[in-house]
Amino acid sequence: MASFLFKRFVQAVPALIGVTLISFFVLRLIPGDPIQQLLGERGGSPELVQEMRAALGLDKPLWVQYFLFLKSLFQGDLGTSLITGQPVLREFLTYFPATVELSFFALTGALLLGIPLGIASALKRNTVLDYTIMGGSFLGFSMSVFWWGLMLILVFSVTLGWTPVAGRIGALYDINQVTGFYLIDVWFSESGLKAFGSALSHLLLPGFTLGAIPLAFIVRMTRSGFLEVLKRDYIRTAWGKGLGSGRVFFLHAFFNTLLPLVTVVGFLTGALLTGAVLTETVFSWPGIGHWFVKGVLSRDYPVITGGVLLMAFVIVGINILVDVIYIKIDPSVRDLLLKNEKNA
Amino acid sequence: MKKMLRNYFQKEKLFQKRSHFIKKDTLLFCCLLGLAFISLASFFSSWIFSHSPYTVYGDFLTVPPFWMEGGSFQFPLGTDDLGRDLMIRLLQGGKISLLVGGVVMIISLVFGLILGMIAALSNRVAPWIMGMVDIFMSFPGILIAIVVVAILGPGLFNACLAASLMCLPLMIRLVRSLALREMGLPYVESSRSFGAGTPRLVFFHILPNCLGEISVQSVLNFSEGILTVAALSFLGLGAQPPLPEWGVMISDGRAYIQNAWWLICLPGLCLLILVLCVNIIGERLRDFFDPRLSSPSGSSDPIGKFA
Repeated sequence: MASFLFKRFVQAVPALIGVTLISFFVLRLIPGDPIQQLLGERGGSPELVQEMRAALGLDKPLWVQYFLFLKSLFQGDLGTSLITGQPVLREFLTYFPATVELSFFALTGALLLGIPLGIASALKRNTVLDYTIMGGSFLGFSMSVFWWGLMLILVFSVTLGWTPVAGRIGALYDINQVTGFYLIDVWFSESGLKAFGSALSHLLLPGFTLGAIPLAFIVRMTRSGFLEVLKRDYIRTAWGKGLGSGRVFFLHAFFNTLLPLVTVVGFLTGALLTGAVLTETVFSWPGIGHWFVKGVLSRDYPVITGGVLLMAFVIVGINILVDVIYIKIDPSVRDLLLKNEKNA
Repeated sequence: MKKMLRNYFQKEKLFQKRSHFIKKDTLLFCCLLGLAFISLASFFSSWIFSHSPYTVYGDFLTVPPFWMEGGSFQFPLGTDDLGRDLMIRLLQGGKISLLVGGVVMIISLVFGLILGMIAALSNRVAPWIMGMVDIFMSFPGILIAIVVVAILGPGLFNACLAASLMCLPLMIRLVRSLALREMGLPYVESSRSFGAGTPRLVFFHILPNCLGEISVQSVLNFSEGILTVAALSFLGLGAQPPLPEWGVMISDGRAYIQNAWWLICLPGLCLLILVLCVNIIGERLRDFFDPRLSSPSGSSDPIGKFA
């Protein structure tokens, strides 16, 4: 297991180096000068420009800059944002919990809703229920996320006034950031339950926005997976043994339907953690997607390179985690992966 | 005899399914009709209606659509915050979106075919191309698109390029796997043994046999491109105002969500209808070309649309 993990990490290295190369060199080719951006339209004296250039290390040749970048990367230093002057890593870490909270909320909701819907759809195949569920799921694939979020705001916030429009928690509540997850942090503050309600109500609409496409996806995967499993021999054996339909469906078929879902949930997690850009923009959610887009719009090089790199780390980490989970739960995969390792 | 009969009935069923594709599918018919209507209406809008999408009617700011109180048939779908006719803008936006979809589809098709074929034919280049494909595919599509736009600078065409690059990895992978599948078949082998060169194999044998699956993917890329470019425009990285692109219009309308819902609702609805029509056509094409392969996701790249 340990050597398998080690091998997985080694395999990820070329990809990560590729990401550093791409993010570093290509982004330096961006037209537009960050110094001019910083100084504004009026600009500054040539000496000032020169001084700032030297201070930010932008006067050295590109490849020197790259190796300096790599060196500081190994020291855990991703540079400081040109706009805020904060270290990129610290900024990332302040915004990341918000994204994690949102993504997990969205994904949990999508799973809790999607798996039952998918199975219901498979059990009632070719009925009105099935067509409705699958039609809804197809609609989910064709919808633009930002529009969906705005429609939810329009209905639930503007018209009905049930939920807040933006932010993570009501302005009244003062919270110490212990973990960065507001749903947990609220319990450390004085107004526990009320603050929890506020945080939850702020989470509902963004969660439902972000979860919509994963939901559509999970419903489809569950339905087709369930139908696939029902065709297998061991299910026929189970029927043949005279087991009741509840036992066959929910003990024999259900758990094997969940297996492919692990892969799906793995990549959905990676995608949500790094790609919640639109949802976060619509709801002004202070997460990394929002932060990254702001960095792109203001040509904040360290934020862009650092952001891409950190997101790559997140994705690689999750992929390895999915492999580990697979090894734990699926004996056939375990044999396959660990055998390969022995041969190699 | 029994076996023959069964085979016969299976073929018959298959045949029915194929003819069903064109003749009896009401949904598909509606989608084709819808797509045709959107295309015709948007491409001929500038001939039918005399005023341009940029004309500002200063006396008619945020007029609601005609069925609401205060609306009139002078502006059937109302006006926006600057007093521009929303219907004309929506129609022009349709033109832009269709062009965007076409551009993204063509770019990703051409480069996907070239790179995918190279990756299938040459063992030396293949690991490099596929390695790049793997790196790109591990990122969510929207993130790649944003970074590309960050490099090239905001703008409609750059957003199209970004969306194409986002669709490209899947296309390369598809073309390569299809080509490898065909190359393993006996007829290619025999053709090669008759002395057919690589170009002949590619253009006369391999490509024609992969065309079905590739066209399905291309249709899906069309809708993917429209959605991605709209998303980029919404973020301020794609088309820039005052261009009547649907994503830009939604982004502009955000400030008026309290009192002018139609500024957000209608462009998004247009986007939804167009993409839905294209996706359903793509799905039916997939069923037609390869009923076994109907993918569970129903979409090319679920990651791409996140966010």
